[in-house]
Amino acid sequence: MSIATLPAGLFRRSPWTIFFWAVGLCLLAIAFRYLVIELRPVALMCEVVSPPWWCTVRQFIIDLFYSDAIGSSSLAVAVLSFVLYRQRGSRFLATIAVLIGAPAIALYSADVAVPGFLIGLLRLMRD
Amino acid sequence: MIRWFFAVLAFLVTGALSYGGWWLHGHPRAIADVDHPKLGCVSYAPYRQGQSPFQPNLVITPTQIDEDLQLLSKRFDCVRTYSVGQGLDQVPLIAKKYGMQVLLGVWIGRESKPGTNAKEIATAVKLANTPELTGAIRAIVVGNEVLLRREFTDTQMAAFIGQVRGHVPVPVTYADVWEFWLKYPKMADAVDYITVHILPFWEDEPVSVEGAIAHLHDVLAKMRAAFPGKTLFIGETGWPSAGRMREAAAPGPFNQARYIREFVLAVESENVGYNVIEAFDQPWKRVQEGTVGGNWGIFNVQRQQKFPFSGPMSENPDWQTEAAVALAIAALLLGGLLFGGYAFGTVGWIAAAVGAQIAGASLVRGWVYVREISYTDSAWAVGLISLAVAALSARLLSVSLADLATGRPAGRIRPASAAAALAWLRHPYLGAIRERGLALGVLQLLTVFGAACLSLQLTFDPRYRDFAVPLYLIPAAGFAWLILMQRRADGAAVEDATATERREERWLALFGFVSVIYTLIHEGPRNVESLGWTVVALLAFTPWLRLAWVGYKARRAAAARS
Repeated sequence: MSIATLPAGLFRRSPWTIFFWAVGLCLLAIAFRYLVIELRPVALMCEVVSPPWWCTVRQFIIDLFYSDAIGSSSLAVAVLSFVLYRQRGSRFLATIAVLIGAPAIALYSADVAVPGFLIGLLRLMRD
Repeated sequence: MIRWFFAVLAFLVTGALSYGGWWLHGHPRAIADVDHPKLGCVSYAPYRQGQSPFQPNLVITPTQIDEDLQLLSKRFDCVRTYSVGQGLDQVPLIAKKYGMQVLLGVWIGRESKPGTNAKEIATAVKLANTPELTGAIRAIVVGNEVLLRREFTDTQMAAFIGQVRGHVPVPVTYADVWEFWLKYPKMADAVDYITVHILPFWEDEPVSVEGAIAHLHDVLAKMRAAFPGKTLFIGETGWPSAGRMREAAAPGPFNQARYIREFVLAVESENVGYNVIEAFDQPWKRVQEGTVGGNWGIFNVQRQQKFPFSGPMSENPDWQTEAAVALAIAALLLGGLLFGGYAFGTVGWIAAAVGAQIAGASLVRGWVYVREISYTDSAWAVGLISLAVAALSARLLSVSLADLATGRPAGRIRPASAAAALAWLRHPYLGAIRERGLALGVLQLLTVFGAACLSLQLTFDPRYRDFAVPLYLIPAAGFAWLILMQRRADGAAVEDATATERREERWLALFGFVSVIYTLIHEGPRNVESLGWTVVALLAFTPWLRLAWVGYKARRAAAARS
């Protein structure tokens, strides 16, 4: 499968495939949380006057998830996919909700990302 | 007439038992009395409902501080602050008016705006050197748990402290939890005395209230051994009055009163100064630390004292009101069955009355739980929806179980599938929900979905999250019981025939099951609330887990045939 066809192919796949992608993203998020965000030596490297460039990326990701921006998006998209059931794009929205909800659950946004993830997954149960 | 007699008798007997349960939970119990007119210091954060240290433009008015310190001066002779910003530089002057002293806190932390730490230090040095404030400032605390939060290194913290020490006529100290003093012992050279936080509830291995005083003595002994000759001061100790358990450490009004009273008496033998956390409940802390975080005050947000320092203390001062409401709900549920014309035998009425009493009690405690944990509008919404699901389930399940017990055909109506319930939720036509199976299906779906959500949230973010046992007890146990009874009456075939198609049920129950088992292991066997949640959640998931198992076996069998 070429990179260009990956998303289109992914959105047509079974719930199990999307679920495994989501688990992979969640594991990546867990690794990021404990090895990049919360690991003290890494945190200290980013608290000097002139931190390395990747600290900006790290901080951007922290802000993105900690503010519930991703988790809330997952919930909003999941609710939309649920309401638009049987309409064009509903399955696509549910896949997005699951794929962004899974890492958000691990990155401090469980309050909103968990219902988003589960509603998205429930939508994917049915064609 | 006999029907009425048995129903009323069953209600009275179970009602008396229920009342006994409420009494056990709420009657005042004796704890040690504190006779001192004045105690040591108390942490003073001034924020009231809607106020927070994260509001950059917030300035606490001198009037607000004056009201608070006037109240505190009746019981404490000093307050500990944590910052000199947001108008808190007024505290020493107002404290002096009431004959109090201040442990002046200087907030050191990661700066959202450059120069914040330097400004805090400059303000504190200026206040300490102000002639009008002579005698008002007992000491300056430069930094609070900075090393614990890992925001600066010990060397950097020592440098901050050095900018104050030697420039003020009062002692200078730094405050952190005891483990971090032991981890960074060189910090002791940077301060005039050591301010140590001992918080049994928040320990990495949480300590129950029964063992908290012994733990305090142990920690002080360790600190004395590590820093011989250095003066120690207990900078924070206390107990929360509400929130979730941490292992065997249980928050609650009784435990809070018990710990603080026992602490005040125990600390006399240690010859050490102390500061209790904290004066007033701080709602803003609930955002970061959950329900527990906002409930450490000796006074609540409305400035009412939460417990007396002498005399017996109740875990639930409202127990009589709550018991009365619970009995009224039980009477309504049982009355509904009585007027519904159900003719149970003696055992049937006793079973119905027991169920009604449990439902009444759990709905009342469910409301108390929602009121206690709901800080944001969305939390209120989720809590009230869950309570409504529990209340509707109580009524509908009582009728379905009664129908089943008396052989009425309606008792055999099974809850609709999750797919059917979801279809109704997409187009919620009220006329359709009058159909019993659909109503049961929607309530069961909402119950299992809610339980699965909370179980998954407890897996990833457990530290500050509460266990919603009273909200889920009735629907979780009720549906498990109804489905079990229906299977006994009808055989399993009705659901089993569709088991392979019950995908939503399968996924939700499996997610919930794995999460709740993880939580059970993670929280440990000493956390009674976690054990309670495990039982309730498993009751909610069990009917669908069984369906998942039946469906799995059917798919395996089909695969073998092909």
